[in-house]
Amino acid sequence: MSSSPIAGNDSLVAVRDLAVRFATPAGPVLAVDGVSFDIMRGETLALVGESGSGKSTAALALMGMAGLSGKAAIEGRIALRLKKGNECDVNRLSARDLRQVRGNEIAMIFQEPMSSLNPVYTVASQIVEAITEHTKTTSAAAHARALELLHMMGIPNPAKCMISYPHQLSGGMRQRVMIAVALSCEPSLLVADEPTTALDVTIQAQIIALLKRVQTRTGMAILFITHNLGLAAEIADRAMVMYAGRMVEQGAVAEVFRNPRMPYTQVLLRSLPRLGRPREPGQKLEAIPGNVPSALKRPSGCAFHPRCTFMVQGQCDEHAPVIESCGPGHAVACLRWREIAAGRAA
Amino acid sequence: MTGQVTVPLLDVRSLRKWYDIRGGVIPHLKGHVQAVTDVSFEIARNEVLGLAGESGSGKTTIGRCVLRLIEPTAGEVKFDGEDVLGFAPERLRRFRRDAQIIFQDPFSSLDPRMTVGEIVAEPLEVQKLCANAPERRDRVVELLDTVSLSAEYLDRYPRALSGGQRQRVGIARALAVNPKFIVADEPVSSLDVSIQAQVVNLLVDLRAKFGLAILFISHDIAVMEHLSDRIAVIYLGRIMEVGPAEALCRDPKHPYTEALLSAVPDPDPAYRRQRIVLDGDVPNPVNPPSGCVFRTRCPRAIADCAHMVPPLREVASGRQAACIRL
Repeated sequence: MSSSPIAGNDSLVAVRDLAVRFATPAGPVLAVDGVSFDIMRGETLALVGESGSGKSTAALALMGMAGLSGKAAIEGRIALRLKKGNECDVNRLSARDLRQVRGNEIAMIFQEPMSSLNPVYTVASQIVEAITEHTKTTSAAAHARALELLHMMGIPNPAKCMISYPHQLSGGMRQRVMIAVALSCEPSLLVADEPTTALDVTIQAQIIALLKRVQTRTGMAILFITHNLGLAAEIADRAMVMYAGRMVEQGAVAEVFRNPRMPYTQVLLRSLPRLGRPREPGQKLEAIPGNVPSALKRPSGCAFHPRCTFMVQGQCDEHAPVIESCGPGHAVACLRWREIAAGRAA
Repeated sequence: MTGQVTVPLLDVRSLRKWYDIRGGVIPHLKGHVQAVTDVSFEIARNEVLGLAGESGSGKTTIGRCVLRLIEPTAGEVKFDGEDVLGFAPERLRRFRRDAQIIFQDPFSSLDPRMTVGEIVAEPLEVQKLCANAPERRDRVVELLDTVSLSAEYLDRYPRALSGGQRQRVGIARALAVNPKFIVADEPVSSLDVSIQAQVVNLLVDLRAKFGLAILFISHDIAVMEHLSDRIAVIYLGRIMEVGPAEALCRDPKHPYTEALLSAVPDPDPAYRRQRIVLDGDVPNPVNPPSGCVFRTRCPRAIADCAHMVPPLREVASGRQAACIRL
C-alpha cells in the first residue's frame, strides 16, 4: 500500500503525476504531462496558462471528466478528501461513485454559461434538479433552497429569475445562475474554468467579488483556471503556471508574480502592458518570440526552450527539467533557474 | 504662404446608428436599438485614437460606420475634408485605398480556400494597383516581409497558421493598398497572451513606418493605453470621456472611466487600485435611461442626472467628459 499523499489535515486534494493522453487521428496527444499539485481547504489556487497548456484538461481530470470527450488514458493519482473525512482516488472511482463526487464534493463552472445551462428548462428546475439529484430533499425544500441561493448570488429579483429561461438573462446573470447550481450541494471545491472570460470587466469584477464573498461564507476551496495573469494575481492565494502540458512554476501569488523564477513566467509578465505605469513614447512591449507549441509536436527537453533567451544547446533541448524547490513553497522547472536568479545567466 | 488649415484626417460629427425593430401582427415600427447616439470625434494624421468600451457599447458599430461598411442613420463623416457618406460607389471604392480594417478574429476573417498569397493579393487586384502578376507577387512578398512572415507562407492556407500568424496576414492585407487610416477592431483580443505583445509591437512599428492613423477598438484598456495617443470611452452608444491616453488612465474624470479602470486586474500583487464594483448590468439599448445613460449604475448619480443628456465638455486642459457632476 502506498501511503496517502494527503498528509496534513488541511489538504483537500493531492494530485500526483497526473498524465492525460488523448488518441487523435493525427496521433497521440499528451495533454497533461506529469503534473502534481495540492489544494488546501478554503484556498484559491490559480491555474495559469495559454491555450493548449493543459490547464482545462487537468481540471476536467479532477472531476473525472477528462475521458468524456474521447479516448483518453489517464494516469496518476487524484486523492480527494471527502466531506465525511475519508478519502478517494477520483481516477479509480466507478461511474456511480463519480456521480456522487461531482456536485457534492467538487462542482464546476465554465466559461460560457449559455452552453452549460439547458436552454429548454427554467432556472428553477435546473437548480432544483441539481439539489434533488444529490440530496434527499423534497421538491418544495429544494425550491426554497434555490431561491435562497439566487438571493445569495446577488440577483436583483430572485423570484423572477427562477421562472426565467437562460436566454432571457444577461451573461453576468447566467454566470451567477451557474454558480448557484454549482454551490447548491455545498461542494468543498469549486473548479472555475475561465468563468469571467466571456464577460465585460465591470461584470467580471462583480463575479470575482461574489466568488470571494461565497468563499468566505462557505469555506470552499477554488481552483481558478485562467489565461489572465492579472486575474490570477487578484483572486488566488497560490498560482501554478502551466506550459505545453507541464507545470513549470508554482508558489504563493506574491512569490510567483513578484519573484518569478521560470523564464516563461518572467517574460510573460514583462510582455503585458500595465495600466497607469510611466512609459516612454513609442516604448515597446517585451515580446516572446515564436508560437505556442502544438500538442502534437512538443519540443524536446524543456518545452519552452525554442522561445527562451536563456536556452543552452545540449542542455535545455535535451533534458526535461525536474521540479525543484526554489524558495519556501515555491517550485520551478528550469535547468538554469539558479544561474538566472543569481544574474549569472547570459 | 497658402496658410493651410489643418483638417483632421477623420472628422465624425453627431454620428448615429439606430436599428429599427419591427414586429406585430401588422408589422410596424416598434422601436429602435440605439446602438450609437450623437458620437463626435476627430482623428489627426498619424494619430491613434483608442475607442474603449464594453460589449454592446457600440464601438464596433462606430468603426464600421466610419468606413461605411454599415450605413449610419444620421451624422457626418469627413475623410480628408470629403463627405464619406455622400460617396458614390466608384468613389467609395477609391476610399477603400485610403481606409482599411483589421478584424478581431483571424480565424473567420480569412477565406479558408485562399492561400496567404491570394488573400494579400486580392486588394491589389480589386484596386488594380499592380501592372502584372509578377509585380503583384513581388508586392505580396514585400507585404508579408513587413509583417515578419517569410515568402514560404505564400502558398499556405490559413488553417496551417497559428492565430498570431493569421492576424499578421490580416494586417498585411489591410496594408496592401497603402492606406492612410486603419480601423483595428480588437486586433489582439483573440490571441494568446504570449503572442499579443508581438502583434501590439508590430502595430506600433507600422504606424511609425507608414504614418498611419488608427482607430483602435478594444475592451482591453491596458493594451489601449500602450498603443493610443488619445482614448475615447464609450458607454451605451455615447462618448463619456475623451483625453490623452496616459492622463485619462492616470486620472480618470468620468465616474464610468474610473470604474472601468478600477476593474482591470493587475498582475503585481503590490499594485492594487481601489476597486469600484458597479451594480447591475448595462441597460438595454432599446430603452436606454433618460438623461445620462450611465446614471443607473453610477455611484455619484443625483436626481438631476435623469433630466438632461450631459454634453461632452472641457473639464480640464485637453480633457473632455460628459458628466454634470464634474
